[in-house]
Amino acid sequence: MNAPPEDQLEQLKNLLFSEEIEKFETISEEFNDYERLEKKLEPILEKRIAELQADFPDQFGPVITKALKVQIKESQEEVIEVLSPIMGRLIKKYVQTEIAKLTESIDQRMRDLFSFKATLRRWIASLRGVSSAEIIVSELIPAKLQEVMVIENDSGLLIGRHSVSADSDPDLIAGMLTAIKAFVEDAYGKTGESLEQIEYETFTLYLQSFGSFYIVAAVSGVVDSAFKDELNDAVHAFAIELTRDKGYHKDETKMMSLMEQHFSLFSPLALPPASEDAVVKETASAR
Amino acid sequence: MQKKILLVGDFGVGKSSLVERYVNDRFSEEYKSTIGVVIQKKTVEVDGQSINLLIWDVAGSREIAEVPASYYLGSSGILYVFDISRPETWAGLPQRLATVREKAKYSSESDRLMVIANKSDLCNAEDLKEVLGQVSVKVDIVTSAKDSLNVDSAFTELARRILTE
Repeated sequence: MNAPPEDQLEQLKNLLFSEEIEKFETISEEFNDYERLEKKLEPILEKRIAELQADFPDQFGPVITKALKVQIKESQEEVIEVLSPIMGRLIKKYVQTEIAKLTESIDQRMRDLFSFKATLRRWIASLRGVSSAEIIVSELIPAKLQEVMVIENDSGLLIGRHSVSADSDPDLIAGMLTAIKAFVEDAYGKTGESLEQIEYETFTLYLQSFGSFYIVAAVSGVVDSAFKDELNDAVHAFAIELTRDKGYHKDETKMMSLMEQHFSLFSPLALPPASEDAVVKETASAR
Repeated sequence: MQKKILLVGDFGVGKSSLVERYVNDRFSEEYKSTIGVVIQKKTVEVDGQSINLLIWDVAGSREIAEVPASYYLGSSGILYVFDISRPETWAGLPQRLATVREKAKYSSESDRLMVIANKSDLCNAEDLKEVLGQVSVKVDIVTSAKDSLNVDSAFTELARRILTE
């Protein structure tokens, strides 16, 4: 009796393809054995990875650059947000340096000029005890008193504050300033000498000691001699009153009112947001 | 009412970690050395009275004399911190404390200088007992910034002593 056709076909397949089937089984076995497969592939992969590392800039550089360009183009707002504080500071610093250079060159030119205007400017400058260049520059970027702090000399505790903004923690600033002052005076100071000035980007901090307390005035912009003199006078007048009446140290409202009285000419107190009209009036009345 | 307090002691004893735990209720395993001084503040209620504590976390130093004398001026209280697991941080403690008292102008009777044994999480009860027996001064409180053990109590107790004195 003949075998069924399926079996006959199977027998025929085995006869014709026995070698191939055997090879296929060996390959399949190798492929499923992870360790053996890994051994076989390792040199190939290593070679390919090394090639990839060597050629990465050539192969992917243009693609990455293109992707970055697209990303920057599509997210300009975010890019600006990230870069603007850094760029802003750099620009400020650059402008400051350039202004200093400009000051020198203007001075030079002013010395050479004999026009009526120049003579008049020189006359005003000499009356105010400042250079003509200082007058021109300070007209462009006027000095503004941003903050005055009265700080206890030893402890660094804040006694009083007059500020145009209320976004920083004055207690911590007072403490850190005292620590910096103490450190500098300890490290470099001789008897009776004290830290008098700290410059930070476009800010200048003026420190003046008065026995048990010291006063810090933070000024932004270009400070000319006239402004500095006026500020010095105000600080001294304020300090005299403070020394005369110790009651100010304990009464916050009294202290604020005294500070307002002495420093409002330089900058108005930090107030809650007002209407546009009120802001314009305040700006006009400020120095 | 505002009061300035100081944390002093050898480097790496956990002063900044204690302040960080107390002010922000945070702890980090990462060690960051303090440069100069870091100031933080926290308001604490003691016996119905509110005190604004200005906390000066002074950079650690093996020699206590290296801390600028002016940092101590005007301070109302001091926490001297040592690390239970490092004997060198509590060796010679009486002399170190005497220097601190002298610099801060505290009398020898004043209890506004508190001694803190920190990092209790690094030892078991027996080791702790042994260390406390070896430390030649009275330890006011045992703390762990990591486990948040007695951290609030240390600062509150100092505030209480400041108010009392």
